[in-house]
Amino acid sequence: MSSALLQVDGLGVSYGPVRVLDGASLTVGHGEVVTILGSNGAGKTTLLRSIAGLVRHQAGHIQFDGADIGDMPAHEKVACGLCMVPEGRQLFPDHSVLENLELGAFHRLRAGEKTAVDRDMMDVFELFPRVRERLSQKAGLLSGGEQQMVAIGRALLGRPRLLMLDEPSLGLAPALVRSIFQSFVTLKNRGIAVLLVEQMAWLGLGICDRAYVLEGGKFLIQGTRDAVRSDARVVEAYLGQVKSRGLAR
Amino acid sequence: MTMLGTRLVMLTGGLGFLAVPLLFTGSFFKFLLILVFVYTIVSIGLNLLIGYAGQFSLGHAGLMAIGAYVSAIVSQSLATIPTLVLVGGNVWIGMVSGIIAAGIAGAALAFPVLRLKGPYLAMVTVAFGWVVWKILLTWTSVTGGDLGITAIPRPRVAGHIFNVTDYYYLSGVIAVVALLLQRNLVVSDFGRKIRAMKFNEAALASVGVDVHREKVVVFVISAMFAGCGGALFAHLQNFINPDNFQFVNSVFFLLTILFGGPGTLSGPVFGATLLTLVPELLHGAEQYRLLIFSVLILVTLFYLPHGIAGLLPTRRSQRAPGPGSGRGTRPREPTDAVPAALSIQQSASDVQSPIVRIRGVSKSFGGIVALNEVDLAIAPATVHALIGPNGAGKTTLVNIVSGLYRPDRGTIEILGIETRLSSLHDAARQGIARTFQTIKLFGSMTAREHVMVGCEMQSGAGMLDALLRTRRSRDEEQRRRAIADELLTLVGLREFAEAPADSLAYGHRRLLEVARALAARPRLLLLDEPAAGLVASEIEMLARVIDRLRASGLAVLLVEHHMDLVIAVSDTITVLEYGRVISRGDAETVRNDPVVVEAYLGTGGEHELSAVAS
Repeated sequence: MSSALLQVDGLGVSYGPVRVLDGASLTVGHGEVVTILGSNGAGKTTLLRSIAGLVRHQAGHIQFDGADIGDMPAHEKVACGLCMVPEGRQLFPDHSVLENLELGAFHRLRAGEKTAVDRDMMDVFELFPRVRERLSQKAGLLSGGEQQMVAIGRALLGRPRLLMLDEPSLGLAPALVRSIFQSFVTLKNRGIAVLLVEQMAWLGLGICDRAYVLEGGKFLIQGTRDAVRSDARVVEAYLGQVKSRGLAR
Repeated sequence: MTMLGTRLVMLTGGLGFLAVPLLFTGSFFKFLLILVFVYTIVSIGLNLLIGYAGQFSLGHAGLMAIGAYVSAIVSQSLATIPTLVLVGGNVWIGMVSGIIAAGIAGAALAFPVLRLKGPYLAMVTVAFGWVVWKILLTWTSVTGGDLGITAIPRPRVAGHIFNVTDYYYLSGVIAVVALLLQRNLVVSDFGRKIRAMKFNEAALASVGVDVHREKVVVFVISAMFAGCGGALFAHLQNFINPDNFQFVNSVFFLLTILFGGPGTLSGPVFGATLLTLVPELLHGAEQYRLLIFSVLILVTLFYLPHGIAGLLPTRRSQRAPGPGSGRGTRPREPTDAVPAALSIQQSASDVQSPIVRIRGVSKSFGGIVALNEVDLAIAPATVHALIGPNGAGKTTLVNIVSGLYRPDRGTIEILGIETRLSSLHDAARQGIARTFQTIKLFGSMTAREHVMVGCEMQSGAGMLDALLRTRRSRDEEQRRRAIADELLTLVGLREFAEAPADSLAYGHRRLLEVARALAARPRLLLLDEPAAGLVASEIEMLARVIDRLRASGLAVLLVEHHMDLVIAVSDTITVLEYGRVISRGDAETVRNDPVVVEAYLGTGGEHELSAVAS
């Protein structure tokens, strides 16, 4: 009955004695961009990984498009349209860029959707023209920004309805970061929902519809972009600019 | 295990050890237990090598053979000196020679071979074992060929020749001593180094450790344990032949480690005991022995990945994460004081000449030019930032200054003297420490241990001090601990001192790398994207740490994409694109340089995106 694309209720995940997620709940609507902020160790990566089925959760429910997918193995979730771009890109460095992209469409190619995949490949090239120039190169030899583009492209070839990204700005030059974040807006316009974890809060809050702040395994703050962006706690912990300088002199 | 529990176990073990000869008057069971002791000693050596240092050997039977044969041959040839024989000296000298010979053979094998890794190292050690075996078979004049050596003398003290009971006590005591030595080594600073080696060699080298040298040392120690086991074995049996030291015996020792629990202090005891006694108990079912054995091994590997020792309750301090249990809390605010641990290189800050100057450095990989005629000078007590698009050559430059790459052309001067940096550890010894863009930590070792490993460059206690755990080595440990805690406080990680590094959050791992690099007491610190993955408040803290390092006279080369950090802390900024310097100057100049905006910063304000959703 719920109209949300992704609905997570009371998610709990522990690594041994350490409780990482402690009843986290969130929703992502169809075609919505949602950003998750949180300090290091707050559990952001764990949240994405458990939604993707890479980490087992001990409590709570995950619904995708109305169906309970809590116990579904990760590769089946991809086939449902739940794709993830992991932290640090995680490409196959010795495979070519093309092979990396094709692996993203693995389940679709097996199902014989070659023409549809080719069409999506064109869409990826349109989004990231630089990727097309590098198709035959080994992915490990690309620069960080190009690798990130390939990683996003790989996820897009899974034909996601929800794209989850873990720290896409990590280690990227400012100009590149901007263009990659701009691409999320294009995706949204194509009807793909985006769930984004990002340390550089101004970036994440720049393009989202709604945002959550994860602290100590729970969502402490949530709301529309403007509400979160003007929340005093967020401004203090996440939007502060580095002042410093002169302390020592 | 509590202190009392440990003592109780040790007491019962000790009493049991003393009581065995009284309970079993026949020699068979004693003989079996002596074998257990001998195998335990060899296993301990292998455990140091495989379990702790992560280096493989499938040739330990060969090393054991060298110990056995040398001991046998030496004690037989010395038997021609009557006075020596009377006091039993020939056997004792033989045993010691056996141990030394195994050590020398270990060094000769390890020096070239330990440049190899993983399966290649295992292959070469297998070959070594075969070669030793073949030599024993064919060098008949010395080794007696396949008949081996017979009538090997038993040890004696004054007039008394050791019977099986005496030998039982002797080998038992040596096994206990071997266990103590293992314990002392593992907790020493050498032990910390070899454990770190198992996780990441580059990171270990980056604080000044000559990794290859340490590998050879641990291999030699391991070989000497094998030689000791071999010597005891020879004088127990009275005769030896090549069949005692075959490839399967090497595999046997590997299995004792896997069974008992690799990298645990008690693993070798469990492994050697079980694998020696179980086959004897299966004597009735001779034809099924191998089958039962292999099933046992498969089951162990599958259900007990940490071996039998993994079933023991671990001490709290080893497993439980630190107070506050780590996750979710922000690093504590660092103090403003400059730690004493950093104030050593102050003399460098008096020198006005740059700490490091590179001139005309070029480097290409295949056809791709990563660096093209780059000049850079970093003065003491300054922060020099290096920015540029991804793939501009920033990390290549850091790798050259830290000794990881050799430049194709160009020179590097340290304190005005032209220098060739031949490796990471060489650079570290010359006062250049670094962090890594892809975090390189030592797995489950605690945060404090990481920083203590970083203290390599501080004078330490020697190997002998470590083995005997002398006062000096304990004082030294205490000192390093204090330095480590001071540096952890500096980067705001003091409360995570006891936490295993792999339980730390991403950003905290970066800060831990900084603390480890600082422990090497550098003059120049290279930070490769230290703020990647940090939130704004943590970046601000990092900026304060960098400010403080500058105040202590350190030079910092900072590679970073977070422009507000770069602008806040840098004295000079160099911008690279396609391996060339395209701009240089203070923050204001560089930020407004149209070339930099075009190539790197992009248009649009610092903190805005030009098109926004919805």
